[in-house]
Amino acid sequence: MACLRTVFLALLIAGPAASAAVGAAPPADEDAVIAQSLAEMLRDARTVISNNQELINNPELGDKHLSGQVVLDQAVKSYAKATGSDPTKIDPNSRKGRLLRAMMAAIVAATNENRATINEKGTGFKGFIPSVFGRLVSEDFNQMAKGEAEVKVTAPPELVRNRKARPDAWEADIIKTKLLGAGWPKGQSYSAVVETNGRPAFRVAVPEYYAESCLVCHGSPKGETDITGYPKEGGKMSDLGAVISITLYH
Amino acid sequence: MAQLTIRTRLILLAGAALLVLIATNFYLTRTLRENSAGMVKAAGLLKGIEQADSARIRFGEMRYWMTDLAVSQLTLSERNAATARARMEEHLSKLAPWNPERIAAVRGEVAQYEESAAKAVDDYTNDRRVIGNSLLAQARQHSIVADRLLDSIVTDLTGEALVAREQAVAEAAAAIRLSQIVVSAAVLVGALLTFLLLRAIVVPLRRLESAMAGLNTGNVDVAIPAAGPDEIGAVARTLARFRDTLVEQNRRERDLRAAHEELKATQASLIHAEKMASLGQLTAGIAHEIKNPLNFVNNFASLSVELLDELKETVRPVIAALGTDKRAAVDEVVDMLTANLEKIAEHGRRADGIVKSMLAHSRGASGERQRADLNALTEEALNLAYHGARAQDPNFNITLDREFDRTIAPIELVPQDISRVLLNLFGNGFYAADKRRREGTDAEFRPVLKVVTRDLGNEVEIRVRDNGTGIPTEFHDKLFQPFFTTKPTGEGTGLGLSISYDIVTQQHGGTITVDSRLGEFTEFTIRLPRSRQTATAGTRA
Repeated sequence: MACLRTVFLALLIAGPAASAAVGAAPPADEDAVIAQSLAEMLRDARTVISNNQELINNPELGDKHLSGQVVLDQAVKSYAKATGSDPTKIDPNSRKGRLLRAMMAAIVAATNENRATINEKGTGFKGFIPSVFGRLVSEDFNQMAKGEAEVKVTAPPELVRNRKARPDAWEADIIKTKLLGAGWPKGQSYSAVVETNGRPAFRVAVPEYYAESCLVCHGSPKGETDITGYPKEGGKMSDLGAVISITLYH
Repeated sequence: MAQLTIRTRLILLAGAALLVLIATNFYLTRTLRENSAGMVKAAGLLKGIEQADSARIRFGEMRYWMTDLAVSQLTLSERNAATARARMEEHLSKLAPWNPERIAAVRGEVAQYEESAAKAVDDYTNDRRVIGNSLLAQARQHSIVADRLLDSIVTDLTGEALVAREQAVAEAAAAIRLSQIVVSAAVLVGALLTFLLLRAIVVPLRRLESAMAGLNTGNVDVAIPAAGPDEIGAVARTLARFRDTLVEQNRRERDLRAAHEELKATQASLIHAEKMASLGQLTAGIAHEIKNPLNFVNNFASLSVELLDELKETVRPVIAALGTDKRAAVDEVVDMLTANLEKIAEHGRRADGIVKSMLAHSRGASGERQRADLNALTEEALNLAYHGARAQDPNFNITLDREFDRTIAPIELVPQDISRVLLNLFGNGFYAADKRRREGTDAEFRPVLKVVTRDLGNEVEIRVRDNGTGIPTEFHDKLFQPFFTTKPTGEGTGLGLSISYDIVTQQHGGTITVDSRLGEFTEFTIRLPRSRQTATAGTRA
């Protein structure tokens, strides 16, 4: 979701948020760092796809030379620039390293799975947009994380376009009561340890706000069909447009 | 109807028309209400069809979006499916009152479809495509059943709507036909009643108009329509009263005119009587003054004749001694003197007769009233007059036609005076008839004098009619005036009818009238009352 690139991305963990404390659980700070890293990586990769939309949708060009690796490399650069650390150098045996690598592998896989579409000549808009890419990466990540963690790009229910991105009950509640709450600080994430799918988990909801580029499809006039054929939501700059939901199972 | 007043008839006619109008209106209103109810029912059924169709459409939309959702996974499709589902439910809710059981069946099938489809979508979302296909196939079966149910509902509603519409159309057509029949009948009956009413008014009015026109021209015998109980009857009654008033006025007018004529006649009679009285007094005075010198003239004329005879005897020897010529001259003078004296005596006697008549005229009543047989009196006078006339002129001849009423009872009168009147009238009749014969204009002419007597109850009547020369009309007013005569000088004194007039009117209180046509006849009519009355007037026909 490159449209949110300019948004303040600092993940501020709101409180210890241990609504359901679990014994032998990793420190909340570690969970928060891991979640921040995963969110940052996903966001950076999405930004790459966003930045290459003109290339992807060029009907006259066949091979765009936009492989999964290419996308990952650019994302890694962005990640390093944003966090000051090279994700490839993180200990792969650590929990953070393991999950970050799963994220990077998912980025490569989601891109490569759609290379034929990306390189299709004669077709303009190919639907390989940041949101779709983000969902595909999340889905791949969830498989690669093997139940250790899950990532989902969701949004307020009225803004969700794909039902796979529908918020679950916890997400819907947090979005409604926290992130859309009147006094909620702009850009501040919300985290909590809650039981999820019968397991204790550290969950983080990272808000993402509409940027200028987002409003091309999600802005005004409301109801007007965007390039994907979906009616625009009538969003405005800095409105809550998406939530990256990260679940780290303990 | 004829026993009713015009106002009542008009009220009844208008009431009948209003009744028909109200009844027709009531019937049409009721029919329209029923028709309207039928149309409302048909409209309700059409609304139901619309709802069922809409429900089918929404159900189709719902299926479409659910299918689209399974493929696209877009929440928009899900929301659209939910919207279509909600709208379908709205239509089903509106349909439910019509047939709750069938709608419940539809709802059951739709719910099962929805449940299966939702599960299928979830499976598609969770990448369990085969399970999703299976569930979607199940959902499809429910959708087919639901669709058929909705289709059957539409079919049934359409059938019912058609029946309701046809029934409403049939009822409307029947109402129109009946309305036309009622209106036609009302028009016919109304026209007939109006005709009868108008005839019941116009015919009597025309009769009244005719009666009024007749009365206006003075015809009181004109027929006035029978007076009915209505207003025209009231007018007829008023007209009848008017006619009666007119009749009474005519009678009074006739009486008044008769009274006026009688008054005029009486006035003329009085004037005449006064004139007669004055003339009588005058002539009596004159006659008395003339009679004495006339006696001297007559006596001395007779004495002179005697003296002349004595003179002739005395001088006879002397005359015999004269010569033939002288003796003849003396004899001639003596004879002339004798003839002159005889003329003087003759005319003196005539003058004496006139004077006597004048004195008799002025004397008035000359005898006593006594009961007398009028027919005998008339017969006696007639014979006397006839033989007198024959004595004066042996050639005189006339047919006497008597027509006496033998039932006439004796009447009180002065016989000699009435005889005088009759002699006068008979003499005049003989003279006129004989004059016409002598004038000889008609060789076949035969003089006739007819005398008729009649008993009229309170009075008796004597008619004397001759077929003589007649009297000119301009002389009728003067006939009874003294000294008026149409006879040559020396043949009449002009006092006969005047004296007769006085005897009949003054002495006997009767009337004497004359009717005549020149060259044809003259008829005098005398009427004498049985009871003595004050003198009335003689009149002329």
